[in-house]
Amino acid sequence: MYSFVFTSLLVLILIWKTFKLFKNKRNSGDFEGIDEELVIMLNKGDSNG
Amino acid sequence: MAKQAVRFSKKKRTKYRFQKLKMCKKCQRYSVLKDDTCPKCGTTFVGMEALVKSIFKSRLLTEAIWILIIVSIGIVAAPTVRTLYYSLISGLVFVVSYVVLTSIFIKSEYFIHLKKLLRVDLKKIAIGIQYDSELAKKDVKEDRLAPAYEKLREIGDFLYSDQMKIRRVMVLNDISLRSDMELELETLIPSSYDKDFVKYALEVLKINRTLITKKCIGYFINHRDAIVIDFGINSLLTVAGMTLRMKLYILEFSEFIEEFLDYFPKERVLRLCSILHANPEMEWGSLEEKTNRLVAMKYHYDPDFKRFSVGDEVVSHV
Repeated sequence: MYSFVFTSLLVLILIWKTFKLFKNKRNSGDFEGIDEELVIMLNKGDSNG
Repeated sequence: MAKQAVRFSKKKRTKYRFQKLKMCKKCQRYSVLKDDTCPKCGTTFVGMEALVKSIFKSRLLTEAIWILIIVSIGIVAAPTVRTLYYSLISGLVFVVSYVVLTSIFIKSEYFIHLKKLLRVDLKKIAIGIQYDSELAKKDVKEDRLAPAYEKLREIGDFLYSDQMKIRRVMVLNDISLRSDMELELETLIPSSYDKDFVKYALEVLKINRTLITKKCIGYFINHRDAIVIDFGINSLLTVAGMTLRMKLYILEFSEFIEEFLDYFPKERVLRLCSILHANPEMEWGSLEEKTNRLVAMKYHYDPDFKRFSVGDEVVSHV
């Protein structure tokens, strides 16, 4: 029983981790996108003139 | 005021803009300038990529510690020797699977961390650029125009406001420009008419014709009235002459060229004729007709124009 609970816990952790990694991979764009987003966000509130 | 003769250092080039960002860990301040050390505290800046890597590594380390704790507890708390061995094996399999899984997705994980950091620290980055901008302002006040422009040039990669462009242009107008300088024109075009920009553009066009682009010609055409008032008709004539640089520009701005055709120097008319003559298949419209008329009237006996003529008739491609 103990071994089953412990192994289940580890498997659950692995499933959760895999789900998170896949979700992150799906949400990750490209570096050009990051660049564009950064510039847009900086220029939105630009008061450096 | 006499213009300053300066030498600009080469612009730092990176594949992506965010790679120019760096942080002083002591002041918690970002900078986009080329300096390696923080001007406030003297600490060496840490690059954005190094910063993300260190955050990513520490997260992986924390995860690893948690995994070890969970597996160790599972092993230690095993009621029998058999379950202890069983827990040890499943623990080992788990650790190996976890490491393999993480290493497969390491690139997207790094990417997500970078994105997160940029979003979270956006305000800090903006404040850092503001501080860089203040440093440039200070340089201008102290008449150190080269470092001031270099700073504004780096900041200009991140901020596209008209004010930022005009600040750069104003500094450049106080510098004696040379063809060996890495000058920019299109990136400095403001959204509305600006006398300083036109002054700079006319100066730049004298030393580097290749910087004239469609957008730049469009700016001169859109603000032609104000430009004529401030700089005279000759400034527009110069731009119209430079429009002959590419046949696509000639096609796009043929009406603008036509207006100034009669005032073009011989060398410009010759260039226009060469382009028209070399591309008979293109539809040049009334520009071709007007050019032919001008050549027939003004350069009829000029030997340089003979190759465009058949007998006394100027070749018409229509």
